[in-house]
Amino acid sequence: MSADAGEVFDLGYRGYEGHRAGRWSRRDAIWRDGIRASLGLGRGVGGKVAPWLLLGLVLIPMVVLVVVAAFVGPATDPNDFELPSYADYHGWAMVPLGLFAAVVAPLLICPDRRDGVLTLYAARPITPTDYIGARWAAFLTVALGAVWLPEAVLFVWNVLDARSPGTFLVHNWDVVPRILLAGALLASVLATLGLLVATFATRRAYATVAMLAVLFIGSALGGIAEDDFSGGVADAVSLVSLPQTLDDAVHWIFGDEGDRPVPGGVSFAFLVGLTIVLAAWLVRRAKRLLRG
Amino acid sequence: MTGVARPTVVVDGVSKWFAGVVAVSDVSLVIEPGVTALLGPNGAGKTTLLRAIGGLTAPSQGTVTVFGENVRRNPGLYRRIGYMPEHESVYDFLTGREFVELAARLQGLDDRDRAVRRAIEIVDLDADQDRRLKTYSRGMRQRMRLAATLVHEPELLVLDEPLSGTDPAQRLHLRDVVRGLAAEGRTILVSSHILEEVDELADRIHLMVSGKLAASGDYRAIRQKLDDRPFVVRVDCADPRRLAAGLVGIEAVESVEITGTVGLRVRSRDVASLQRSLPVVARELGVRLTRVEPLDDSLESVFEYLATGTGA
Amino acid sequence: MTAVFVLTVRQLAGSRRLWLVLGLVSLPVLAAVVFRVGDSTTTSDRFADNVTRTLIASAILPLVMLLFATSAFGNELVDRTLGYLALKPIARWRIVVSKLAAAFVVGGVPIALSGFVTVAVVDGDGMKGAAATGLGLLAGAAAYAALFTWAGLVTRHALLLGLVYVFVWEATLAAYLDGIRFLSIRRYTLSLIHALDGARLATLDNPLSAAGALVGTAVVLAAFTALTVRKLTRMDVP
Repeated sequence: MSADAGEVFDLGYRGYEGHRAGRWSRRDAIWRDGIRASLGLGRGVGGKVAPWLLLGLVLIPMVVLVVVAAFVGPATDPNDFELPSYADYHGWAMVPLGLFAAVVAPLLICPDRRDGVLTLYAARPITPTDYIGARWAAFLTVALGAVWLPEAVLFVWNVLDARSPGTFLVHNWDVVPRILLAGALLASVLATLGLLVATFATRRAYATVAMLAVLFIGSALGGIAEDDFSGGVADAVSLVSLPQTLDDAVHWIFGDEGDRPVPGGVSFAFLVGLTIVLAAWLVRRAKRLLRG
Repeated sequence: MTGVARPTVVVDGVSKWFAGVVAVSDVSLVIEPGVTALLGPNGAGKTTLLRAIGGLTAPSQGTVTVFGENVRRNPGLYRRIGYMPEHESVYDFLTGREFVELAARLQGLDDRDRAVRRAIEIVDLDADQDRRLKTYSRGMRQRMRLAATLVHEPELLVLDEPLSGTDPAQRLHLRDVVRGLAAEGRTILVSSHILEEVDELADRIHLMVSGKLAASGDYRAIRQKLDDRPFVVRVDCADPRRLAAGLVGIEAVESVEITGTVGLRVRSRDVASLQRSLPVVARELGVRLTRVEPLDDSLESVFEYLATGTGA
Repeated sequence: MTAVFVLTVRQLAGSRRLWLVLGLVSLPVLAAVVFRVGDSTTTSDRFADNVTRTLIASAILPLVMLLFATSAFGNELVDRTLGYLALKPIARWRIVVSKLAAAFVVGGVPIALSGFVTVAVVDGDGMKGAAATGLGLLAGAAAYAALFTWAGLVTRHALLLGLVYVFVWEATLAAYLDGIRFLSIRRYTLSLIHALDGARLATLDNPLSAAGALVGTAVVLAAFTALTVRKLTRMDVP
């Protein structure tokens, strides 16, 4: 063995010539990971408590109500017991769903930021838009599932409970697209907001509190604007109360407008616009985080 | 041996367990002024023992006495103790100097500025002291943490893996620092899982394996025992019996054990000559070797050997 | 002791967070200004009460105190830097009180000031209501600080549990169930404001007396501070 000249050995190293999965499978991988993270899978028992508890709170009350309705029978006086309307149940569902967005959305973003994993993502052939889009899609999938399920249960029950399910279905087929739209609205607003807030924090706790602050403080402000002021400006400010505005929009979707200062249609348009703006902002944040 | 006034640290029958894991099992030892190294593979219980010595955790059984007092729930004792934990995290937003100043302030030092200056000088970080710790490299952070640990000139210094993340130059420098402090009569307790790191550093070592004290004593004596250690090499081949017969004849081979139908375990004290002889014997006998693998290269087996006197 | 106090203030009031809190506490003040210049549909008394109650005492105060107080020790535990404080010859109570005070100052004082200014702007007539609001909020902030600082040291889930306490316990149960209304910091805050100035929060349902509210606050402050000190003394420092 020569002592001075160096030698490089050919160990038969090869580059990878095989199949490389395309862009969709990259997105799919992050999406799947996002779903797992949202449901607390792979994080032991403690990690599952928050998501499953909150998602359960969205679904289970409806299940309970339907079971009670089944036992109570059709001849009951509506004053004693009545199933909630599709629109009204969303009013309840948004509470645990909002908490879910506040508590679980940070799990998709903040650990990546804090552990410095984002640079790993950035070093792979994945665009920032794909990354945040996949994360958003994952969270949205879970949220949609959560909000559509109880409504579906209610609808199915109503169909089965009708004297003639066939006719009922024919007359009420329009409920289905309404359910889909209302659920989509609720889920997208909360998901986009939750993720956006999370991109501003490195610790999950801060993101959670920030999201809740937006919801609760917005609600308080909106309430004040509505109760204590009058006029167009006040009505506009009352839109800041997301829970209230969401409720109005959902009722409008189900054709059930109450006597509100801002018409339901306007609330709906506002929320759609808001979601688009927030989504654009979210993409900008993602670009900044993955480049920086 | 003339009696030392009183050993700095007395660990008596200390055990510590949590959640079904016994981290430290009935360890008794005594630490005196000078440099002592606590060695052992990862998971051996070194950090847990050090934490018990530092009062960060209460032993499940046994007592720890430092300067003759119970170290637990005795914050006043920390005037005389400097403890550097294994976690490398610091207050990112502070500058190096502010970090050391914080330590000095919390120690209640009178001449704070002088002590801080001296501590930073000792670790040779004068140039970088006004930068935020966030911008420091790992080795620099370790050194600044050390500065904060010794700013109050403690009589007892407990350093948990202080050499991790340091390059060889920094290691030499730290060694000089530690030896300098020991020369002033202080007691220094250092932990590490790399035997070579404590070369020239420690006078006495204590070895821990799986929570138990495996060996104590003079570093050089233990080192010598190491060189005597027989190695075990696993050899898989087509005809083990035939190869075994041939290997037994080699002087470097202590024993050959036949395991199964394809394997041998060869014990030898002289690995270099085994390396030379094995292929020659195999070729002469026409036996094809499929696998040659040292079985106990790990530090753990080294320690195991020292603890029980037998190899793997 | 001041060293730990200053350190914690720096930890909590990172520049972005500070602006956020300042933004939040200016919201009620803004609402008050709008009230004075715009068309409102309600009296100044009712408006001041509404803002104090729904915006400040039930939303801003608990959320901000929750954030800062649970982080006082929470950050140290997560970052594993508690050792730098615990391995020093300082009495444990000094560490606890410094951290608590920092959370109180960074979170509570701005909120109390905002309450003071808001009521002063709305109800230009005399400072009594404003002062009552400010003091009541200070008391509430101190109690929340003690409770949440303790929670932050004792459990990893301090934030979640704090949220449950504020938005389930205080919002719902303690509001409606008479027997336990004495166990709500929100109630101490609002009752104290009313006790100091009867004109404020006159519509409060079954308020506690000034003595009751003060005693409640003092008990929470003392008890949870003591519990935190106890925990710090006995715990294994990470």
